[in-house]
Amino acid sequence: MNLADVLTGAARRFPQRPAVVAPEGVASFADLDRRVDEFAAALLQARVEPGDRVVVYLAKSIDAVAAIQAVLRVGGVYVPCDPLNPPARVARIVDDCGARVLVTSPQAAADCSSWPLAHPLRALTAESLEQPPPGAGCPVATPGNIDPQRTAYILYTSGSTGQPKGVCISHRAALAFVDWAVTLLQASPLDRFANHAPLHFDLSVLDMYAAWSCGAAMVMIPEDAAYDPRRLVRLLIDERISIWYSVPSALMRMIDHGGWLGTDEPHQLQTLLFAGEPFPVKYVRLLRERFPHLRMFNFYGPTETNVCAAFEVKQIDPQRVHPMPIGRAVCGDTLSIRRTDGQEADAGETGELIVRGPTLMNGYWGQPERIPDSHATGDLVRRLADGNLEYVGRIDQMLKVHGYRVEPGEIESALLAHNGIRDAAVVATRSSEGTILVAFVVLADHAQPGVVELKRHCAALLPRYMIPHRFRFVDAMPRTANGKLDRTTLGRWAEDHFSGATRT
Amino acid sequence: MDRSEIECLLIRHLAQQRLDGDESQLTSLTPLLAWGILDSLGVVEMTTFIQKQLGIVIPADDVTGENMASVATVATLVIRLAGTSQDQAVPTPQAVT
Repeated sequence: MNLADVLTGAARRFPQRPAVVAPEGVASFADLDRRVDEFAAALLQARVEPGDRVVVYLAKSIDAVAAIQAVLRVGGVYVPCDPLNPPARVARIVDDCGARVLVTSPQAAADCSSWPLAHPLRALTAESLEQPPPGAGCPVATPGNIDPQRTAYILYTSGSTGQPKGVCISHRAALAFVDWAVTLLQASPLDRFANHAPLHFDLSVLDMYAAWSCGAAMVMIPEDAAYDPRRLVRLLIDERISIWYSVPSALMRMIDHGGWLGTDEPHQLQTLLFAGEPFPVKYVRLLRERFPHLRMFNFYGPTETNVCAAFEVKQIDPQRVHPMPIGRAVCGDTLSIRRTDGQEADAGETGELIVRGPTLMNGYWGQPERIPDSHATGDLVRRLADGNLEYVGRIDQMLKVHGYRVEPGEIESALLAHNGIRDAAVVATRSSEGTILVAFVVLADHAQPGVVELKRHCAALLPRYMIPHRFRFVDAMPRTANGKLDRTTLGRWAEDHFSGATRT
Repeated sequence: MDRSEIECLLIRHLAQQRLDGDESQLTSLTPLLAWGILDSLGVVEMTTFIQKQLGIVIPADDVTGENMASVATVATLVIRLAGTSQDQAVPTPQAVT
């Protein structure tokens, strides 16, 4: 079994059931299967061979999903890119993974010939499939000999040195998670899974494959809907979503600004899943009170391991102020906690979470492809008396903003590429707007780039979620006694300035 | 209020809320979403501001990436909504704070 079989299996068993519900229409499993064949024929014509990487740089749509599945169908490795990425970052990803084919919009297809790439790149568009290439319409058979240990997709995350890094996930690792999720959710073909996460974010792996494994529909929440939480609430109700999986920040916006808890309209929501960042307990409590029968799970897992721990939220201790625990090992993984001295931590002691087991990545792209024995997450956790794990913090500088991993180093190197900037450092701080990225900048002599100019500069190099929310201009960076950048002081400056900045 | 007054009002709001008061390079055509000047919370903040200052409620379905793209597109939306919902020009704000 490999990941391509999930869709082909559903197309055989449930051909007329909806597979993808999107703003542009509904595709049944049979429709989607046909569309995948059309893309697959075009990929074969572009000489994509098993193991080849194909970058998919498309807005969330039925065609984006079909393109991803087509890459799997021909035995390739799909590399989904944030459609909000600037072309410069997509070009770096194309170069890094050595992709020779890009599936994208007509606009980007026209532009990519000018990207500075090491290899020639062929761009395919959904529009160009309207004249089906010779052989299209014939089902494309997946090469039967795809080793499930091989990489199925690569998800690029922020890299601390400024270069995005590609996390390689095998068919087997993805299926270990999907199979576990299917058993947990007990979904039927009548279920409707919300697909809130973008396709380059690993939360969407559940939306797509767990839904299809059950013959259920994946209901796309368009990127646009995120701008108004009232629309998210409307989609949840109108689209009769029964299983919703997203980052807590989206749920917090739906509660704070979307009128979710106030609506009396009937809804179908049975299961709420969240992951990616701690969910403040006051919100979980509001949800528990408003929806007493809702099943709620806190999932945990970095991209490198997919979901490796889960906690079911039942009753909430009224005294609790910490976010919900991340729970216990799932998907057949084992979790251990390593103290700084290398020894296994005792109950209550804080240490780094180490993950072993079937969901582990095949390593980072560019390193020898082999399954590492374990993955050190960089997350600090402790084991509670009842055996559940609780997240404590990070071992390094990595930040989380609305569930996205952000390495300050990647933003800092983008800022330093501006000739008006001599030094830059980025921290995250909590403000009344939630977590925000604050860039501290030392300007070069006589340089006076305004905030708008700096944002424009960042937007040309970074994904949108990494553009600093705020800038502070300083004469010099604070340093520790041994001359290192003092991030603690920067964090305090940011907090002092922004913790109440928009409370007017 | 005419278009240029609405745009001035929005530019001042965005500069205060999002750019630490630095209005210098913000024009009606500056890409707000693409350059990270507005994110989803900033959009909520701005639509609330428009409702308070101009008395115009922006329906959820109109809060699209296209309509929020720049100060000019937001102003176009405001003018359209003022025309359809109240059949009159955008009222002059009470006080701009």
